[in-house]
Amino acid sequence: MTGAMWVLLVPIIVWAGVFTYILMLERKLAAIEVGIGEDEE
Amino acid sequence: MRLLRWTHRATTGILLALATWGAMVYVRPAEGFLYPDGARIIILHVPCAWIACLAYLVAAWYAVRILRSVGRGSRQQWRRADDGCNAAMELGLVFSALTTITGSIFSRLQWGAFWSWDPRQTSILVIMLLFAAYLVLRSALTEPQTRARLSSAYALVAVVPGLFLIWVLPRIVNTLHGGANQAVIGGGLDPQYRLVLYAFALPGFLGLFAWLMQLRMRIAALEDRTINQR
Repeated sequence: MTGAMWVLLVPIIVWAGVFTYILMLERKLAAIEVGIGEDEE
Repeated sequence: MRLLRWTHRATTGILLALATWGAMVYVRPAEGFLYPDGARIIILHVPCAWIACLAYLVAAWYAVRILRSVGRGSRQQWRRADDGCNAAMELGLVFSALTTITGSIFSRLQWGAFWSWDPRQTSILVIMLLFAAYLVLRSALTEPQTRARLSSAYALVAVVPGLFLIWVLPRIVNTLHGGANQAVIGGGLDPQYRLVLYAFALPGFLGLFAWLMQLRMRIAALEDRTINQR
């Protein structure tokens, strides 16, 4: 791999990591909210 | 409240987009680097490391609040602080992992190997393990009050070697990061890099940290509510 490709890989890794974490949290939040909604019904 | 939340998210997104654009397009290749374009990595790598340090301090602050209120204050008070401590440690793990990965790419371009056991590299690895150990300890305890007390005591104790590894060790031993420390902290940074790092990247990452903390703590609060209902 060339140096330029390694440099380009850095923002991809950082944002992929952050987005994956956010997605994980959002899914967890949605699952809990659905659970609460069902309990209230 | 909803408007404020979306304004915060939009501002953070814009700042982070500007930081990425700045790092990849705006700044010029830096002189004095083995691979001058590799210096662009600093703009995303350094804020990740700073946020990991901030996570440590936030976790320690919540840990003090837990130890002061658990068994004395209201249940709500220490549960909220416990959620905050857990959220900060989890975010610390995420950002220290990103620091390690981006740092090893920089290391490959600048020093010729992904890993050189440089004191700074070793210290971020140890810090990442300290964050991970907290989460392992928490998952091993089930009773909420004991879990809050023991894990917050650990978070408070772990902050001492953590801060030593971050601020003291790399300054008392020879490290490959010597020049970088001088450039970033000592004011030797190129004005273009300074602008992108301090005007876009740092505020953007701070906004991201606040957003993720808020999201993580909201999940924990809802989990507590579900448990209490059952």
